[in-house]
Amino acid sequence: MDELELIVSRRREEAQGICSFELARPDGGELPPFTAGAHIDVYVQPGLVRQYSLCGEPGDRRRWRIAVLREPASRGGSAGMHDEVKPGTTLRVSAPRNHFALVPAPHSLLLAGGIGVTPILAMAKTLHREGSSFEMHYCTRSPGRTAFLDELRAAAFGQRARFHFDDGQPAQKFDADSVLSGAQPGTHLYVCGPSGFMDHVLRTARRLGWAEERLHREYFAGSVASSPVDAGFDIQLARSKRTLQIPADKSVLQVLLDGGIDVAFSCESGVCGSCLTPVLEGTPDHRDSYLTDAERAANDQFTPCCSRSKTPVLVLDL
Amino acid sequence: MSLFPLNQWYVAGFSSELTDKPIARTFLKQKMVLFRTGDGRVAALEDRCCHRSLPLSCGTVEAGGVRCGYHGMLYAPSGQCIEVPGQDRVPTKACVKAYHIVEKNHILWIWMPQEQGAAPTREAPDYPWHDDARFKFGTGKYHYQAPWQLIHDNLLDLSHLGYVHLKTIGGNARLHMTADMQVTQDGDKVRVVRLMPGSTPPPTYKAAWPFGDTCDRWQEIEFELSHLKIWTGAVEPGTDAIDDPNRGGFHMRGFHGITPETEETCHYFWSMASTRHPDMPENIDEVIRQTAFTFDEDRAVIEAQYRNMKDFGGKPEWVDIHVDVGGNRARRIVQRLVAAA
Repeated sequence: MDELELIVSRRREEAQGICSFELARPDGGELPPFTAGAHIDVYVQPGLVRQYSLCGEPGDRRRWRIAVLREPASRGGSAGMHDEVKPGTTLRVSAPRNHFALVPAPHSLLLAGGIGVTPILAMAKTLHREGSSFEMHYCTRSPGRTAFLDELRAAAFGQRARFHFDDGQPAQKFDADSVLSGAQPGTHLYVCGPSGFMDHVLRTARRLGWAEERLHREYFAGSVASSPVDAGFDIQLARSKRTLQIPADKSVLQVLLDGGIDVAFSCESGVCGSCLTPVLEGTPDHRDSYLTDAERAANDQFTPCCSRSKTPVLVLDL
Repeated sequence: MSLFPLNQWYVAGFSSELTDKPIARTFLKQKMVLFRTGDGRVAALEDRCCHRSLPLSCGTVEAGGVRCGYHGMLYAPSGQCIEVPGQDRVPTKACVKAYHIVEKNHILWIWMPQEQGAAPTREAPDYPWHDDARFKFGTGKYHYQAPWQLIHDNLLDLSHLGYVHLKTIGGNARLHMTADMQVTQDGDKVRVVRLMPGSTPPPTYKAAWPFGDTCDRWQEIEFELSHLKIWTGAVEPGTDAIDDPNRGGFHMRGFHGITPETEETCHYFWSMASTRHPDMPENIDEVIRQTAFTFDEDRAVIEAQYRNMKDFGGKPEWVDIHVDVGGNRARRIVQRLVAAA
C-alpha cells in the first residue's frame, strides 16, 4: 500500500545487455531509507510489476539505483525497462522491502552471479562503510557483460573484489569448494545470481558443513535458463537409488504412487503441504500455494502433487 | 510452550463497552477485569482479589479504581491495593497482576506478554477508519463456542458466500467459487484479493447504493494475528477501475478482532464501516443489521462444525481445496508465533 512516483534522473548502459537507472523524487526530496539487500517493486506498465534490487549506496537518500538485464525470453518486464524507460520517465514504485539483509558477523562472503550483483554491491558498500571484514566474488560470462566492472575496480574496497570470467583463464575461474572451505568460522555467506549458480554454491556450502543460518540467498524470478514448459523430466530417488521418468501429462506424485513409493498426500493441488518432499539437486518449478516466497526460493523442497521441474533432473530425498 | 502466541496485541473489546461497570473477560485462559477510572483511563487486572480470591469483577468501579465486592479493598490501575477499609496500613504485598491495555480508534487493545507484567514491545495497531469522516460504523461481538482459528479459516475464504450468505452478501454462487483469488504473504501478514467484475449486486449493496443489474465487485482480506481487515464493495461498471486505490462506489470495511478465550472458545469483536451514495438515505443501521445477520449465519456454521468435530473426536484428516490457501498461511503464521514467544 506504500507507493511512490519517481522520475528517472539517469540511465547508463553498464555492460552488454545491462543498463542502470537512477531514480529520484520529482521534488528532489528524501527517499525512504533502505538497508543493503532491499528491493523495490517497479510497475513497468499497468499490470506488469517486477522486483529490482537497490544497488546504490544505502546512505544516499536522494537517489536510488537499479540495474536491469535484458532477458532473451523477456515476458515484457526487462524488455519494457530497456525499450521504454529513459531519463525523464516517471515510474511508479513500491517502498523498499528487504528479505536479504546483512547480519553482523566476523566476516562476510559476498557471491554475485551476473545481474545478481545488484544487492551484493549495496552490501559491499555498507560493509566497507562500517569497516567490517568481507570479500566479494563476482562471476560473469565475460568482462563485456560485467556491470559495474570499472566502478568496482576503482572503489575504495576494490581489492576485496575478485572477478571470475567464464571465458577467461582456468586459474581465475570461480572454485566454490576452495573459497567456501577457506572461510573463517562464523563467516556468513550471501549469494545472488542465476538459480543454477546459487544452487551450486548452496549445495557446496551444505556439503562442507556450513550451518543453514549462515547462508543467505535471494533468487531473481526469470533468471533461469530453461523455461517452465510442461515437458517431461526425470526424478532420481537418492535413498532408494531409482530413476523415474515424469511424462508431460503425469504429476510427480502420480508416478511415485504408481511406482509403489509411499508418499503422504491429501489435497493434490498444492494447498495443504502434506506431500512436501526435500529436493537435493535440480530446480523445482513451484506451482503450489502452500510455500512462502522465501521457502520457494530456497528450492530445497517442493510439492510433487502439482509442481514440476525447471531442470532435466530433480533429485529427491526419497 | 504456550497454546497461543504471546508478546502480541489482541482485541479486548470496544471503548463503548467500558462505562461505569467492571467487565469480566478471559483472554488466552487468563481471567481479567476491565474497567475505566474517573479520568477516563482504561485498566485491566487479574480478576481475583488478593485477600480471599473473589473476582474483582463482582465489585464496583470508582474514580480511583475497582473496589472488591467482599471487603471493599480498592485497586488502582497499576494493580496495587490503595485502600483497605478499616485499617491504615495497606500491605505492600496487597497487589494483583496488571495488564497493559490501550484504547485507540474506539478499540481496546490488550498486550499479552510472555513474562507477566512486561511492557509492550511495539505500539498497538492503528485502525483510523473509525475516525474517518467518509465512514459511519457500528460494532458487535460474539462469544463463540468454537476455537479461534476456525474463524480465521472462515474469514480468509470468501468462496462460501454463495452458499452460506445467499440472503445478504451472497450474489451468484458459481461466481464466488470460481472468482480468481490472489494470495500473497508479507512476513506475518496474509492478503487474499478477489476481483469480480460483472457481479450481481447483493441485497446489502443495493440497500446502500443504486446499483443496476451488474457491478464490479472486490474483496480484499488482510490477516494479521491481532486483527483481520475485510474490505469489500463495488463500483458501477464503466466508472472507476476496480483496483484503483482511490475508486468511488460503495465501500464496506470490516474489522475483525478474534481473541482466544480457551482452546475451545473465543471472543469475536467486529465493526463495519461503510460509505453511502449521497442521494441515498442514511443507511448505517441497515448495513449493521445485515452484517450482524451475515455473521450470525457464519456462527451457525462454525459452531455446528466444531460440535461435529467433537462428536467424531480424534484428529480429523481434512482434505484441503483451493479455498484453503489463505487459511493455511494463517495457520502456519500462528504456529510460528506460538513457537517464537
